[in-house]
Amino acid sequence: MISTKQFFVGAAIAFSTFSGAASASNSVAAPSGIYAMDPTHASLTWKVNHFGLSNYTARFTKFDVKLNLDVDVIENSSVTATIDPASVRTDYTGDVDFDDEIANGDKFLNASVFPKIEFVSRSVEKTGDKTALIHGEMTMLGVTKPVTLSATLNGAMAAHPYAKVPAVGFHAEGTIKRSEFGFDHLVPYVGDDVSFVIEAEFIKAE
Amino acid sequence: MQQATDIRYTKTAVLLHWLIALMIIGMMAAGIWMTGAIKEKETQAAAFEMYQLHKSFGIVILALSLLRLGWRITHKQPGMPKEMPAWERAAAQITHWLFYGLMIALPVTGWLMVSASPLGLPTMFFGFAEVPHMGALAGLDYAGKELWEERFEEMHEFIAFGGIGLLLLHVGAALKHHLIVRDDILVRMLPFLNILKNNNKSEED
Repeated sequence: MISTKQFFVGAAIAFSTFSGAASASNSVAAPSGIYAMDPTHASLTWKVNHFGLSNYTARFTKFDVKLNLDVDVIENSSVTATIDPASVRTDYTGDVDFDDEIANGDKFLNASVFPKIEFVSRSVEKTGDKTALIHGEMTMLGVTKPVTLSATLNGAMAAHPYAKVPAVGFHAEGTIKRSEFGFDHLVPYVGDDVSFVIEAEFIKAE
Repeated sequence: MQQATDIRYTKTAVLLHWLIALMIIGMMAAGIWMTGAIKEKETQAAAFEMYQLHKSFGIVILALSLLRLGWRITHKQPGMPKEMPAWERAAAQITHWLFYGLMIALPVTGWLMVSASPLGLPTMFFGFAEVPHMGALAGLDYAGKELWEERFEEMHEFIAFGGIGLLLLHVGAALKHHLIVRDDILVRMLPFLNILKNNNKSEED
């Protein structure tokens, strides 16, 4: 018959051993590998100052992110993202189709001439257990400029309950100066700085 | 103070001089502030309001300056002191006429600039009446509007900064006359001096 004290000490040792084993290799439950974005649980929103009155908010609905995740050495990870500029959506387009104007106007994203906005990571810099800076290059309107995303691992699963494969979820945010890409229409009345947030879930590819 | 060399400016001339002077100084300060503030989102909304105020006062200055020009042409000016060298007289004449040019050209180039702007922002005269844009610029295409807005903006800026230089020259000269030469050049343009009656033969001629 063990005493109550012995029981608790034993339980504490068992628990710490178990959790220690779980975190021995890394703190991420999902394995390394290639991950594909789950478009049903992903969003890309952006904000731009309008007249000093609002941080006008809109989104892109068609975009894709590919993740090569190394959970052991996060610096070895890489990511690419592609956005269809024609998929820009504002919440209220007004009397003229504002979405169409932003997507296709030659003073805006000019999607027929530049059908892709792309981001390619060049290096990953670990900043915390679940955070990293992703340094890369973004190409918009045919101009390529360095852009840094600040990424946070929201969560990871060894097996997604529906998909039954490993899954990870990231938040990433950053800011670009659109004029650097030659997109200076209405600056500064409509802000030069465009901030964006990506919330996306990823499923391990086969 | 030496003996007054001549009559004072008329009350109307004095009133217009100081009214316009105050407004121009305010406009210069507002112009310098708002052109920076419009670029920062924290101050942008306030800057938009300041632009409207700046444009409203510009219309007032234009109207008063045309009135003043008419007054100047139709009324006798006090003469300059006999001791003044010819080059100083010429410099004073040139400065004064440059000021007339500036008082009219600044509002006009400002008006042209906002009329050419592809933004098409209305000019609200102190919030209650819309001042029309100059129609000749309305027919331009976007690139044409951008080009002409920029040209008028550069003119407006050039004249404004030139005006600051002119203002320093003008104030410096007036103070030199008052404090060093000690003549009545400054005093005859000062308001509220009828109570002094310093050898002035007239308040109103």
